[in-house]
Amino acid sequence: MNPTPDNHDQGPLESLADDALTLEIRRLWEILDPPPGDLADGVLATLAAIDLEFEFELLTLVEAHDALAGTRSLTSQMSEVGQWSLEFAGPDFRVLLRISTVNERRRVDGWVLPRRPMRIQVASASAGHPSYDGVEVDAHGRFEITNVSPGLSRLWFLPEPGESDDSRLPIATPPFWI
Amino acid sequence: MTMRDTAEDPASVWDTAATSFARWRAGDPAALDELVRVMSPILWHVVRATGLDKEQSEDVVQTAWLALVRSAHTVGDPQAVARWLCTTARREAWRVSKNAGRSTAVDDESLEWHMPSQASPESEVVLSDEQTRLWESIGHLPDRCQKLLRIVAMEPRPDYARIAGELKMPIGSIGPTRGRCLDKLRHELERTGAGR
Repeated sequence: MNPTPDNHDQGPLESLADDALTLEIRRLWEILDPPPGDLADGVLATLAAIDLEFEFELLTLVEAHDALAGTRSLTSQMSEVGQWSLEFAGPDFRVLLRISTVNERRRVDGWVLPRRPMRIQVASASAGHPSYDGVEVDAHGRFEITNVSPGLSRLWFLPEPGESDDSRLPIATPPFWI
Repeated sequence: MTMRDTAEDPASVWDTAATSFARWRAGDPAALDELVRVMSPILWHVVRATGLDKEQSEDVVQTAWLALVRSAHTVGDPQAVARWLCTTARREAWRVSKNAGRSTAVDDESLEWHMPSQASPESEVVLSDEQTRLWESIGHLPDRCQKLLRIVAMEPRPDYARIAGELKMPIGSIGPTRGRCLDKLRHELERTGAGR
């Protein structure tokens, strides 16, 4: 076997090392059997469509507490240094959130009941679908998400794969201001 | 221009995929578009190498992407995303070809293996002299070699152990078998090259 991968610009095909010759086979097939021109567009359309059919259980807001006395508008709440708490619930799931502000970034401390293995993530309210890693709940059902951008958001609670009950749907809060 | 200018460097494709995937997981939705555009052609070739027809191959490519979006958190290291996609697509392709019944798949496939002009009738295929010689030499190899060489060629960094499992070949045999098939190919090339 000839180990030099870059000698393929000289000499006939039969003198190419294994990897270089394999690469020529690949390039031959790329010419002979090109993918359909709309392959990537079709994939993207399919991925966009599953956002619409993505099923989840929607929680409802059952309680909101403002740590600062008095009323204020949503917009002032956005920029103010403050702390407030929210409670969301579904038929068999409950989550308590405390949102605080550190250096104009939000911090979310949460507690889920009952505790079960899941990943939790913050997503923009306009995203129809969670898309990336979140944080895990600890053994007591608590979690914390730090350095969150303020804005209209929702929390996703995604069942961990491979757990006993695979039929569990992801759970989401309605959009709320963080 | 040589035939080597036609394809991107496989290593850079892998890195682009890893970067896009990491950005997408960090919340940038546009990065998924990039990932799909970079990786879909590679998945197409990985799937076609298993012998599926074009329509089935498109479906399998889509299935691999759906699996990624639904299980992105199982990928772990972003550097692994390209291999994850290739492996998922190839496994799904084997599953589909098994369900479809091997006899028809093999018939269609053998036609395409031996009739390059039919591989893409809608486009004008222009091969260089060297590529024509390579194509003809491949056609003289045993079917098993043709198939194996295509499978290992189409994935930039193939996982030989996994492919061995999928092909029901002993682990550790893919590398040596590829080497023997390439030797046979060189032999064919020398034979045809002598008459140039």
